Amino acid sequence: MNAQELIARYEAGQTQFTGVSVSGANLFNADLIGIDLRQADLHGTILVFAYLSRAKLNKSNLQGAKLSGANLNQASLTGANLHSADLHGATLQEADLRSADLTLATLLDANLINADLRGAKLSGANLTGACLRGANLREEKRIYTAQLVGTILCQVDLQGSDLKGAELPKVNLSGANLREVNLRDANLTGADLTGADLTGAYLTDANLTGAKLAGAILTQAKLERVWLMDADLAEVSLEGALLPDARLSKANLTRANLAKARLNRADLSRATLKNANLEEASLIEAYCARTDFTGANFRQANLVRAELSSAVLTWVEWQGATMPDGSDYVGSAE
Amino acid sequence: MSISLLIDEIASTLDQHKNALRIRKLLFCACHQRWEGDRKVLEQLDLARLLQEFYSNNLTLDQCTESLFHIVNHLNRQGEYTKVANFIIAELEKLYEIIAESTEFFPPLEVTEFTPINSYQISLSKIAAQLDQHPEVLRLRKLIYCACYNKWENNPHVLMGFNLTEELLTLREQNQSLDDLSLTLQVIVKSLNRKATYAKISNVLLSQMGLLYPQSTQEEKTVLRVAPQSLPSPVKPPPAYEIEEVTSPLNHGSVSYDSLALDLWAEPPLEETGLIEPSAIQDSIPTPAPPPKSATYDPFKVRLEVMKYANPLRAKILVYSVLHPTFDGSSADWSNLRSQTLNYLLFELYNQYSEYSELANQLYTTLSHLDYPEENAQVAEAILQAIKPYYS
Repeated sequence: MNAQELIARYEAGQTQFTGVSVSGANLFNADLIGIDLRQADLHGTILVFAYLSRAKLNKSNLQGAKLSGANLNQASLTGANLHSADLHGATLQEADLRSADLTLATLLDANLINADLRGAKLSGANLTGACLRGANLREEKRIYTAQLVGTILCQVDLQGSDLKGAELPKVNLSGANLREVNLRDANLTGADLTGADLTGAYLTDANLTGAKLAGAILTQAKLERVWLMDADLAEVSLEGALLPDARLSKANLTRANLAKARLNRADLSRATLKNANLEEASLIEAYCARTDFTGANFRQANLVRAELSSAVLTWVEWQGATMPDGSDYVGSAE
Repeated sequence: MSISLLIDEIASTLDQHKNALRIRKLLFCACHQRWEGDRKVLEQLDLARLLQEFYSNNLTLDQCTESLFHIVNHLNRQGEYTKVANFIIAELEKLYEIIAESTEFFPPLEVTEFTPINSYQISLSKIAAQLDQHPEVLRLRKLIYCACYNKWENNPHVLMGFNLTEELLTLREQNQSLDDLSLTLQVIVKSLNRKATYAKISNVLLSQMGLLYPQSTQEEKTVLRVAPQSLPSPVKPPPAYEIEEVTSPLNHGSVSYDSLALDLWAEPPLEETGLIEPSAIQDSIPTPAPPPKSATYDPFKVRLEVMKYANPLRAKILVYSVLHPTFDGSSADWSNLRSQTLNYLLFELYNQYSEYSELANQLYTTLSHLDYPEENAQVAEAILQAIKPYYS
């Protein structure tokens, strides 16, 4: 079937086009709202700026289709093949993309608000600038695990989304909005979170070994037992963050703001905290073997039972601090 | 002479003008908020009905002028259409002269018949009937709806569907004194872009509602111009119109997207600052309480608001075209469009224009050169609404 025939039949009132082949056709700006194209062959079809809201595209073949600027709001795309499809600036609000194959697809600046992406394959896909507010990427009974290995997620908006247990190793989430995101138990080893906003995020038990977090905002984030070994946390804001039992050995926390942070029993061995701000921080029983605290600010901090014997403590400010033996800091005569 | 006869007469005068088609184009656009270029459609229009509609949408000759020139300013043949607009206005002047004598819908004498009343029911229905006959009934209902529900409604079906008597009773119960009501309305009016229009509407409503408050016997006390001196705790301001449009839930329920977009287009905030009546608005607010504004630009919030109401790719093309006036859809332009995110482009746009009105003008000028003007007008509106809170 060619494009003209499809449009003519659709305009005449036909909506059922299950299984048809329109591959390679030019349907630029076509109005095909609510069309039923289940299992249709649309590979390589030009659907730029097409109106496909509420379209049924389940199990359709859209491999390499040009869908930039297309409107796919509330469209049903479960199991669709969107491998290498171009969805630049497309609107997929509330679309059902469960188990869709979006491997290597371009979703640059796409609207994926409230979209269902459970079980979607997003490996190697480019989601730079995409808005994923309210999108569902939750791991569910293994069957519905979204695959996000190597996905580019720069500047994405995932505020408030549930990514509990998500597999996100080496993912690029730089500059992303991850405020209040649930990333408990998530695997973010080696991930790039440079400059990301993780204010109030839940990272309890998450694995961020070797992750890049320079300049990230982690204010009030929950990071209990988090794995941050070898992570780059230079100049991060961790003000008021909860880090009890965090594994921070060899991490770079140069000039980090840890004011009022809770670091009780945290492992800071061999970590660098040069010029870090630890004012009013709690470091009860923190393990600081060979930790570099040069120029750090410990004013009003609580260091009761902290292991500091091998730490570098040059130019440190101690005013009002509670020392490892429980005594108040007594400064030298001013 | 009756109004309808006079309208017929004006219609036939306008039809004899050498630019009769342009007159129809302009009036059609003023009434329907879209440009019609099809000669057949235009010729089939009943000009008298169009005039009647235009007249009922514009309370004064000043408003007529404003409506017409608002359109003229966005056209490429401004010189031609300025003449056309002036001709229409000159003709309509006759109409408003006649009307001037009959505009007293609510003469003060009539007012005293209703006051003071303990049981509101009778007077409420009378007031409701009076208000429903007002030429600006839709805007009146919008204002009442917003005052009752703290939410801006644009859907005419919803607006015309509610029982005005009940809503007026709600309004009376929510506002213990006329000053309270005045403040509630002021806060709403101040958050709208058509402040002058709605200030008048608000006065109409206050003058009628005054009858339900025992102490207000002189309606001068009820108009918006009077600054309430000793106010109780400030009424929680409803969300600003602009904010409300973009932060409402994603599922609009019964609100049709089309009507929303149409009304957004119908009331663009372009150059509206010049329309504010300083004495009527600014003096009446005791403390300068601006609508909620975030001090720092939030790129994610702006992008979210744009995406909710506009196609992201169209938004990118429009913003890119503003920033790069040489955009011609060449492959180099497309490749640039892919290398620059919507976040980045919006922030560049915000940085480039220090004045909101300047930004709005530039967006509208740019979109007039692009294909799909309707879609792009919606995009421009979405961008303006999203970015407005960051302009002081």
